Amino acid sequence: MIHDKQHKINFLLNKKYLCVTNEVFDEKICSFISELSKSILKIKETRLYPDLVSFAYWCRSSNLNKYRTKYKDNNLRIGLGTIFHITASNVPTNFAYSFVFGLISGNSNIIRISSNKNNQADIFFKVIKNLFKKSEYQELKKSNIFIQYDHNKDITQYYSSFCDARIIWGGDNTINEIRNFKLKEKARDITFPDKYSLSILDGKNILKLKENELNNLINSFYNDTYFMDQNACSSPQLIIWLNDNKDIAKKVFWNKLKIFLYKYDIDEASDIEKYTNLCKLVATNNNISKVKIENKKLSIIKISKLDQNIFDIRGFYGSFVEYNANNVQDITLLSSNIVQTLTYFGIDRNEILNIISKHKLKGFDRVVPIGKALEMDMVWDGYELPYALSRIISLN
Amino acid sequence: MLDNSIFEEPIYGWDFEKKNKFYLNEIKKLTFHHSKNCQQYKNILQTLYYKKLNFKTINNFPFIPVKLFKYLNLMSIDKNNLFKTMRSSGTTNNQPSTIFLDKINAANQTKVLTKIVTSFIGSKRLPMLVIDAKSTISSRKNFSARGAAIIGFSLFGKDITYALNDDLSINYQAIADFHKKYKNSKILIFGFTYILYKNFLKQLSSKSQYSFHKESIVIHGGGWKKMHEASITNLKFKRLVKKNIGINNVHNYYGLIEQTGSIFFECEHGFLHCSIYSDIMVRSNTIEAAKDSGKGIVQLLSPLATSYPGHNILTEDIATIIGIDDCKCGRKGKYFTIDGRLKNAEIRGCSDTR
Repeated sequence: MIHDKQHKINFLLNKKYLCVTNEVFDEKICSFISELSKSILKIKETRLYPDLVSFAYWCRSSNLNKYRTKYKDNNLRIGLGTIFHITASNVPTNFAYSFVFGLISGNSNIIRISSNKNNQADIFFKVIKNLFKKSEYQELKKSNIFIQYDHNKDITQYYSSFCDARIIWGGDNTINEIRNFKLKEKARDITFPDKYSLSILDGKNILKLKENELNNLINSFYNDTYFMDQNACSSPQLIIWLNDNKDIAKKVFWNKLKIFLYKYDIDEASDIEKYTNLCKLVATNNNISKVKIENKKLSIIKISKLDQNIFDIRGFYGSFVEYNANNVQDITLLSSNIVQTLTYFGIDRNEILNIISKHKLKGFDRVVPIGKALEMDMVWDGYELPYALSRIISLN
Repeated sequence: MLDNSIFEEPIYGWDFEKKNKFYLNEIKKLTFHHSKNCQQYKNILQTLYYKKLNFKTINNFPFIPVKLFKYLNLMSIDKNNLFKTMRSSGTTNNQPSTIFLDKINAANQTKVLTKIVTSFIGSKRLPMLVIDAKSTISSRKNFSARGAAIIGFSLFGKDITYALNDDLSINYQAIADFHKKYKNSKILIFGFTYILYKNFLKQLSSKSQYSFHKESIVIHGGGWKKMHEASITNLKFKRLVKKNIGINNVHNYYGLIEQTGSIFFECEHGFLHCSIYSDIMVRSNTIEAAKDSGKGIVQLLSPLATSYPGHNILTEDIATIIGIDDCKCGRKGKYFTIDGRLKNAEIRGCSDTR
């Protein structure tokens, strides 16, 4: 059936596909991934793309070993078989992480990547093409294919029909669309729907910071947000402030951020899109008391109460919702599956964790310091991916 | 709301000072009017412009982006007074804009369109050839931009003949009949620029050229995006009209469904002109004040927009304001060229929609 459609698929490397499974954190797989990491870092242009550098660092051998120690237990765990990945089109390295998740869990992978221009992907494929020339990687070459195709029901249906798991990135609409295509009875979907993320900052502790510490904090916050146009699922939309009722720390924080924004650029169309979004939000949302448009790169949306309607107030290109809370406890108001990453500064992590555990909060899939919002991990959205993509052999 | 005496004024007769004074007052009045009668608009003023409502210079007045009419139903009238709903032609991924008109607003639009067009073509109705299919004007209650324009311009025509079949191929028989009947009369040809070009001018071969009366007029509008892609300039377009149908008198116009009627007509020197019923400013971003000269994103003012808050809107078109009050054609007011449209933003992020 798919053969007459094959001309519509662009196979980026190999075309022939063969399913091979391995144990989780198999040694030769690990060494392939660390060689991939090394080779990417060796390429000069890689330096131009901090996200690609992060990816390469994330899968370098020392980090893989750390994961290996954590996930390689005494149980026999084997990959599920074929993983069909539908990756996000506007996150340049998303496909690469997804590939490593599938591979490290012992699977063969069919990875759909967007046809959008993607310089990071170009470097990745240049590297992997060379690695696949080596004799020791011939099996890997055949068992991992990278494909591009425009929306095409037949092709998606075809790959869905025989894979053992499907990973769907790209948010709610993509998931709903792909869910129309049946999987095998035993196969599973791993989905990454739209999420809402937030930060919590302690004003008192911000005011205690030395100049260079403040710079580091702002730089971290910048990377969490503006690096992905504040439109990544883990970039904070909402900033909860503690101990800053007089708005002194806020002023210090935002003013410093404005200095960092010299390196961020908003083109005219994005500027208008951002302004349109703000108009749309304030026109219909009664919770917004005012919006401070500091400049075209930074707008601060003030709300009068914290409740779950806040999830509808979504900004991008630097539009932050801001709220003065009395204590950390206020996050319980946001107990919802849509909440993903809580980044924090100046607050004891254990205090946050205790609240999540005591109130059994929904969501709050990640609690990480400011600066780590975009850092991928083997645990994502509550899945432990090496285990979610493999099966365990019961020996009892 | 709008002082009716404006309809007695010479439509290209106000100089900058006079017009600026009138607009300052009129657009300010409309800003308060819409704020009083349209809750969503009021929310925008109160939350986005809470500290900088400044009515000293019109360049700083609050404006809303045209896309907002896609996302929100904005009206400043009681639903019972709704007379006509206009919708832009939205493409598949694109919701259409919706504009709500009461009787007065709709009538004023028609009045103004008539004044502008007749100032160019005369007040006598002309035999009219529409370069489109009749099916384009199917539903009268929900106008598409193209349909609305055809109906709007049909006011100036008689014996209205559609030159295209429903599939937009040429109806040679209809044109031949029309040509035979009117080859010695001044006629009006109207169409959307790209359709006129692609489905009409380009299809006419040397064998099927027509020669119409030399005083005839071609009026066309609807955007240059596809024309730019096909590398057809205004000049090339005019030459093609001359070559294939023998007409010299070609006028482009620029207009938005959000401000129907008060269109910008191209003069004999190739520039688009503001009448006293509309004005243009350009801006480089949404923050700094709009400017009265140079190149930038088009912002349009209209004192006619009373039933919906479209009196001060930011488009996504790029224009260059060439001058004010001093065009060689003799018309007062700003004159400009449209240089294109902003490219859609490519946002980064996890979710593949938006």
